[in-house]
Amino acid sequence: MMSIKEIHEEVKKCMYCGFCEFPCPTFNALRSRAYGPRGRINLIKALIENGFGQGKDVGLNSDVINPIMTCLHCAACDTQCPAGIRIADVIHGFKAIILETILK
Amino acid sequence: MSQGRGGDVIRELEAVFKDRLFTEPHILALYSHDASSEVGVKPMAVVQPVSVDEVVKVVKLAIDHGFKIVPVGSSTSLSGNATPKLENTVIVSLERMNSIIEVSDIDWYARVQPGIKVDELNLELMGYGLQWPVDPASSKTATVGGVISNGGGGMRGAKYGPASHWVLGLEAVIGTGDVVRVGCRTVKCREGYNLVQLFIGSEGTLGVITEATLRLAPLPESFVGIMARFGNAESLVNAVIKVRRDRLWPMVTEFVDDKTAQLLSLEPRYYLWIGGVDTYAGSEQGVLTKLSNAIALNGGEIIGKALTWQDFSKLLEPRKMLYSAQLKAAFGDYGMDAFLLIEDIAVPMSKLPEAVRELQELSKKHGVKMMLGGHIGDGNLHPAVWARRSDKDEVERIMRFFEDVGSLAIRLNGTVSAEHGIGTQKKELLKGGAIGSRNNGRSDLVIELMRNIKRAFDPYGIFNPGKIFD
Ligand SMILES: Cc1cc2nc3c(=O)[nH]c(=O)nc-3n(C[C@H](O)[C@H](O)[C@H](O)COP(=O)(O)OP(=O)(O)OC[C@H]3O[C@@H](n4cnc5c(N)ncnc54)[C@H](O)[C@@H]3O)c2cc1C
Ligand code: SF4
Ligand code: SF4
Repeated sequence: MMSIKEIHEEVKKCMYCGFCEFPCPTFNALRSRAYGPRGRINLIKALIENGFGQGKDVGLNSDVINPIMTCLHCAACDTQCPAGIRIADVIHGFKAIILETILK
Repeated sequence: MSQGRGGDVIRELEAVFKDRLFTEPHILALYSHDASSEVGVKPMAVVQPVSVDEVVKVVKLAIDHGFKIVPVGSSTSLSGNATPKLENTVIVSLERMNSIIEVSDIDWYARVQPGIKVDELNLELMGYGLQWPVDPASSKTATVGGVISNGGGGMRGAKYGPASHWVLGLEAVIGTGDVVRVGCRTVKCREGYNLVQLFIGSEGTLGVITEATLRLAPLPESFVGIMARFGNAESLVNAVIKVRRDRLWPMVTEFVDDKTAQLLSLEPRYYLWIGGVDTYAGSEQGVLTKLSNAIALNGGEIIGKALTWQDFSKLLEPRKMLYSAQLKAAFGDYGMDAFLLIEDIAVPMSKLPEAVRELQELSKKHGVKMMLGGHIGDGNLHPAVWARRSDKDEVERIMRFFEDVGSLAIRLNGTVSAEHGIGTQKKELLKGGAIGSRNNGRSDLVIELMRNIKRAFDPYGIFNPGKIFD
């Protein structure tokens, strides 16, 4: 499983180009930035930078959790990313951390 | 705006947009900047309209409550164009208004909503044998509304030109809350002032575009293309000039310089891609020979030839990797502390060798790392430079390089912004450099005309404040 640190190293590379949204089935179904890979990667980045998973309460709520949890891990986005971010793995890893944190 | 009044605004927005209103801070942050390095602020809300009526409602609420509106497509702008700068901003995100309303394969137009992405539209148009030939490198993600509002262009620009050539009509909600429809469905349209062209490149400062009637072109029946390399920029440009003298009109004419080539895993030479010259079935070999001769006569070496768009696409692979290579170089040098800036100037074709040479000298003078590529067919160059974000001195050198590049473009009778727009990052270059230099230093004359136009469309100053000019 990816650590918070590893995940952060990946998401920090995002340049916000949005290329990854084109093939994303959830983005195309909902047409809402948070429900695409760019949105998920940047939600994860913000959560980590606010201290999530490092003992800080960031006020996690369904507006933020749902977009991340609805990723299908199809990895269609991965091949599009010019920054080489392992998007599907990152989201998968972060989901595990969310579950761990919630279940604690 | 007082707290209570802010609460009223949100309640009124909620009544219109329901679950398409967002106020959660992490979601707001997703709309607080674009793909440029411009730092934005969190807006107070994001709304996702699905109809022109909803756009009218949010504009009327903005008039009543005094908040600002930044319309956004995919937020892939590179000059801060789509970055909100004031907290009392509502982002009007057009991502859900993404339908194709009508395609006419006789009149060659398409009516579309603004949030459709360029590649989504072109995939659909392929079925009609047609295209909207405005293809920024970001076409996978850029929306038609964003491309029109930035006056964007792309690889096919060498033949087809930028967005301004390919929009027949627009529907937009202006700052009074009224819906205006400007332009026609015919290519010829002389109905007073050309208000369609005012919207093109207006960067969301005049209103929200809610529908566009786009001019279409047929997809070519057949195709030829070539990839070649040269020892220097002059020979490469001379080959392109020879192609023009031979009356060949390629769709794509792209290049990268020697240093960039290395980062793309090519030998360090100057590389040229020419493709999509007008052919008809049966004439391909003849055209290919003409192209090859133009290259050989100027000392070029042909690396690959293509007789289909698919094959040319493969030859273009290294050029398409330019953005990736720029990111790799920047991250490779500075890790996550990297700061990448992509410039966007254009100079007349005849000045290209001079421009390339001087850009290389400028990068040396300021001690900045640069990759250089561009749409050579229309003189559009994209020098990309990077620095360590935490290294103030290096960032400052980049900014000085940025200014000198703008001055160079003006000196060579070019422009400081070919296709990315002004946003916040190029306001000074526009005012002091570009407009001032053409008006004996009287940039105020022209900027005041622009201000007056903005006032006519947006009397309450609602739309995307602080962009293009102050
Ligand atoms: C990797 C990369 C490569 C790029 N290559 C090119 C290129 O080759 N050529 C090129 O021209 N650009 C290029 N760009 C810049 C950018 O992608 C384009 O300018 C694109 O057209 C922006 O589209 P968007 O949907 O992201 O618009 P946004 O960034 O969301 O918005 C652009 C501007 O238009 C306004 N706007 C958006 N929608 C509307 C609307 N419906 N009504 C009114 N105003 C609106 C916004 O307020 C903003 O000012 C590139 C960007 C990246 C990241
Ligand atoms: S892996 Fe997730 S984010 Fe990526 S394309 Fe599939 S659903 Fe979208
Ligand atoms: S493609 Fe990669 S760099 Fe671009 S927005 Fe998506 S995750 Fe970020």
